[in-house]
Amino acid sequence: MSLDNNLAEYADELLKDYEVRYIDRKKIIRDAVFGTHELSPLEVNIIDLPFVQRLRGIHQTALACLTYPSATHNRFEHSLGVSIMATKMGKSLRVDKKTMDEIRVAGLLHDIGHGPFSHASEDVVKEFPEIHDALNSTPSLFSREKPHEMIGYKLLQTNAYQTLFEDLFKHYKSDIELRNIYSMIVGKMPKKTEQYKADVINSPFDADKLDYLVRDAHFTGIKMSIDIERFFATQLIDTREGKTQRIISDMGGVHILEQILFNKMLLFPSIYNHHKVRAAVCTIKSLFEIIKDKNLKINELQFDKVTDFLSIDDCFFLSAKGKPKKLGNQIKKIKERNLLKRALVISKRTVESEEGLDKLLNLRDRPDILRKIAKIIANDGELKGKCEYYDIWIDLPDAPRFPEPSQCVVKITDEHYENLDYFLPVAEWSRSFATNKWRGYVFGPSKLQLTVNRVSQKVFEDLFNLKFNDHATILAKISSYAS
Amino acid sequence: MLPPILQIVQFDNTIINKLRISWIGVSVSLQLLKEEMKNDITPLDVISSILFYLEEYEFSTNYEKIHGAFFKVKDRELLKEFNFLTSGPYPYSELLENVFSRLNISGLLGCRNPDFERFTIEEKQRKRIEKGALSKFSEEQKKELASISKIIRKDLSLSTK
Repeated sequence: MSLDNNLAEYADELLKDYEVRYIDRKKIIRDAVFGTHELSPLEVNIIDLPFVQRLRGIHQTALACLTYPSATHNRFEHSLGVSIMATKMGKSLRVDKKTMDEIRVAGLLHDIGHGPFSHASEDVVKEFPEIHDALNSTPSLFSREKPHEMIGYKLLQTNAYQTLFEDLFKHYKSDIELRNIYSMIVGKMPKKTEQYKADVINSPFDADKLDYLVRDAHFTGIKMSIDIERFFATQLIDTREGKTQRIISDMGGVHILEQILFNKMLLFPSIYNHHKVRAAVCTIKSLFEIIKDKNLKINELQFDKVTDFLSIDDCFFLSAKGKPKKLGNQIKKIKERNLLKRALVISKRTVESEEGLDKLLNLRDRPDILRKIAKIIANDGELKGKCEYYDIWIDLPDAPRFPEPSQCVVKITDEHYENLDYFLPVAEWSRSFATNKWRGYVFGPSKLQLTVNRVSQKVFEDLFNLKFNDHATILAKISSYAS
Repeated sequence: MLPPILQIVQFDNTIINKLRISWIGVSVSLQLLKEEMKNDITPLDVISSILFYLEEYEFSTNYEKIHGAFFKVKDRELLKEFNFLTSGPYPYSELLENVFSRLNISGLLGCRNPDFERFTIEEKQRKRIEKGALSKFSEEQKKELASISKIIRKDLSLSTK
């Protein structure tokens, strides 16, 4: 079944008995990061929708809370935050009321396509054939790396969602156009003269990035500083004749843009690519792998199609009760924070020669082959019977991308404009930083770190002629209890 | 093939037999996997081989130039895995960016300090590509790669604004 049909069926089922409550009062909410924020009655109804409320159960940074105890913030809080940031950006750009209403709602809805554990399940979803088909049919519109945007875009086009929103907009006499909302989610407006509206939600320096950087840093406790108020004061709409009307920056905003980029650069190794966070991501992926391999059905869900991921939140997977034993065992490991450990560190600096490293990195786009290698490691005589294949992971995360400086225009005078990277080659620095800081891992059970280290080195040498130096083991900090 | 010790000695020991079966299994799996990988052309293989055919060993690190150049040839069969987003000021492919980053990490592509303005592929790196990625392609495909390379060469040049 195509993604469109799949989503239409899901939307019909989800909303068939749903009754809008038509709340008639505005509400004032308090956000832990950005303070007090007022929501109109329409917006209150929107956040009360079941597919928005579901975001409360999806951790913003998956299981990063097992590394940073306070990072328990969720996609719902983030969506409110994006709406707040969009409002501030809209005010500074002096957008009209309709646009303001639309960007606020787009902020609330921009993440409705996320599955449990945010980007961790996205790694699984993006390999589904229906996602590939949808991507190939409109390649210039959808991000390959962020299928949740495509899913959100398509969900809002289902008959059930369209009817729901039309009724809501009519009831509250709102002139919001739903097609503008879903266009903003994928970052492309139908009209070039309105592109700045989508830029608020999805562009190099958008409300989404502003919120997640500040929020993730706040809740992990990582110290970070971005002068957000000044950022808003320096954003403009490009009104040059013949140009797409994008958001650009005034010269005075250059150093704030650099602040944002440097903070993004620092947060990646600290949070998103932290080895413990990555180990947790691998354990999450093992849950879906077990379901697939064992042909399991949990509450009628097999997780072989996109909509199965939209029906649940993290909590579904955080209780072992009633789950088949194999799955329950993995869940127990998450609950008890018995996470996988680094057995081997893969980087530019941990290999004896770079030859062979390209062959391994080649497999970043071939997750099925990486899993076959993990199976070979697990089946090696030294490990066989001592650990499960689901506990061996070769994790090669992508280094963060930094296209922002070349995608952001800075206004110098009415006649002179340059890209941000004209002022400082931030992109190249960031790219160099990312590639030098990049680390991949082989993860295994804590008690078998040494054996997994030894076997994986043997397998990599055999497969890729790739040899590691002592640092590959030293940096893994192998426990003295490990065998 | 079995290790000589297992060929000579008649083992009746269960543990040794288990080890032997396991060793044979792993060895067969490794061979099968090697075969599979030998025939699997990945995005990194395609891009590194196109870069191999660039006559200039140095080219611009500029995102707009790189993504713009590859966007022009995106409809070629070998580049079908790359999709380009056109919502931004220039076409941008996340996969292409990821591949460049992997080329950097694996040392197939250098980046000159201190200004990071140019990527370099030195002779040593070209030889690695020739021996590795390029060897996966048929003669027909190599011609195609060379023709793509010819098209993008001018756009990636350091002198092109």
